[in-house]
Amino acid sequence: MKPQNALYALCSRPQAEKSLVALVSAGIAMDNIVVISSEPLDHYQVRRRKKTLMPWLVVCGAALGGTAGFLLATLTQASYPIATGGMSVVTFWTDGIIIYELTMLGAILSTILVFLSTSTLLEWRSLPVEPEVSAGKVLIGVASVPQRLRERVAELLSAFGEVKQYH
Amino acid sequence: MAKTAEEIQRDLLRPVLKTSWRFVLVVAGLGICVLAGFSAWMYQATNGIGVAGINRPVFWGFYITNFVFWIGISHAGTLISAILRLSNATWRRPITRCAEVITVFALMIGAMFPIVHLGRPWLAFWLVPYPSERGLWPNYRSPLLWDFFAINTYLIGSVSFLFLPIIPDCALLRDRSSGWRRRLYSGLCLGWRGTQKQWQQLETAMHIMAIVIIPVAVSVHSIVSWDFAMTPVPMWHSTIFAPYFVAGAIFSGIAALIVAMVLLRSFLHLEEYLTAQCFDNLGKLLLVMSLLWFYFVFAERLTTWYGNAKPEMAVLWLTQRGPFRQLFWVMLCCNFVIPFPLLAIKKLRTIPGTFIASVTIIAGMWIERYLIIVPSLSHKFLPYTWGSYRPTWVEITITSVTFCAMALLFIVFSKIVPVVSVWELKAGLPPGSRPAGASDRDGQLEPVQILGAPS
Repeated sequence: MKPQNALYALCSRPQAEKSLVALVSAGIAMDNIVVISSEPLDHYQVRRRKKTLMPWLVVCGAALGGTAGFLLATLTQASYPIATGGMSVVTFWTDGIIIYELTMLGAILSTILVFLSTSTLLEWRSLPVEPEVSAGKVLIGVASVPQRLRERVAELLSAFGEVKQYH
Repeated sequence: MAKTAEEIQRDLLRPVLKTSWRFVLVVAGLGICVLAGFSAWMYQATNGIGVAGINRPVFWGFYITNFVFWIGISHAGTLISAILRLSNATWRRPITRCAEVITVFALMIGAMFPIVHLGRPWLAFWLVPYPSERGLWPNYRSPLLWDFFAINTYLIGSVSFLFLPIIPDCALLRDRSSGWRRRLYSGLCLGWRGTQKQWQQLETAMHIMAIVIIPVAVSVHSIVSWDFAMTPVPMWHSTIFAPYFVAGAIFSGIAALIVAMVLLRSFLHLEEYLTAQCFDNLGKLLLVMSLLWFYFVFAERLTTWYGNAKPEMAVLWLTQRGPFRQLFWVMLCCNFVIPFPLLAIKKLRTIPGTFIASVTIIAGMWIERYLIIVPSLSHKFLPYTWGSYRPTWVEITITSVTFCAMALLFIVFSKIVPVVSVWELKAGLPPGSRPAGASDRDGQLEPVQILGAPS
């Protein structure tokens, strides 16, 4: 999906802070405001930390990996028993290592998958590429501007920097 | 650091965007060396494992020494980087990527050695657990199979841990390049734009990865140590081996990191980023690990000597008075006697001082791995099986070339991605260090006012 009806202002970091307040005051929901920068803006109050499900999904991934490890080790030991001289065929001390490693592998893979699916891949084409951002500027704006607010948003943004329109 | 964000970006992207004749020369030289090593391996594959010096009873020689050594070196990166990230140490910013790269490449080189050691490398897939018509199923009791799982998990984890913070830098390079480079970085950055949501997700993902990768790193070298400790061979069958190996791995890993940083600092002119403070801090870490290593060596040998079991003592005296004594004392000098004063005395803990200490430690740790493997195998419990080991030119060539391969991989990587994370350094700058026009904080609104605004 290409960016539609998007209005952005290219401005400095302090201006980005001000324009954020102006947009919110104009009735734009925080969730619709997009701030794009070349590094995390920890020193500027344009970030709004949201709760993320990533840690819980990673725990689920780890549990899945651990279960797969348990099944792989125990079921195959039982299915293809080797001569152990009367000792147990399924050995939990050693299977624990396989289970542990696959638990960790599950956690690692789920972290990557959750990150990619929630942060980059889904927004591949919906956000603009602005080379000026890599030069230190901040792109702030509204991804989908309601028609009734279009003029007002453009006016607000133009007070803080060069307005860019993406269709 | 007095540099502005723009200057940081320019300095760190310069080695990636500009290629000098020196780079081409170094890559060509290292490439020839790697080719020589590959030829030696192919010679062995064609003529059989008999061209190597390994034979009954010493079946594990240089190749497994290299395996243990390189897996140990790989502990530098991810472990150090993860610990420093979690503790939010600000001095980590210039060194984390360098450390993470070492991990990935050292792990790749280390993981190659069991295959080189096979003699018939085309049968390496037999190690993979899958049901086959041969009726063979890998034995889950075997530490060699644990290696398969541990090393692959660590490799996937390390590559991911390295790749995640590279994504924003690739987006920077996408905007600064053209042609095939732009296409390459557009692909590598996976559609990264730099929204605040993306930054938050990236930081969360890296935080989780840092937590996960530490126990994985510890488990990997513990499992490598169990390749030995699970075997009833004199001086191997010991409960101390897992922590001893992990400590040794971190020790050699930090040394490798310092060596890589000094070389990068010099060749890529990163003096203002890889500062004396980074080396001083790493030097202190190295000192602690040197003391810990000495403690483990002493504890291991004291226990063996006190037990006075004949087979164990035969191996112990082999390394103290026998044919391996020179190597033992060289190892002790390299790992403790030389580095200790260089790292303990503040005046000597300079960049050259930590570099010298690190080079000796790398040499010392390779010898240590050799001394763990060869003397024990040459003098097992039954004296009629005793034998000796002498490496051939094939093993020596392949071993030497691994260092060239590491250097080559590192240099090529530094040509594709900045070896110092640009965005992390920029994020660490105070607001006053912004370029003109962007550093103005006048009129900044109170955070409460913004966060409390109606949505």
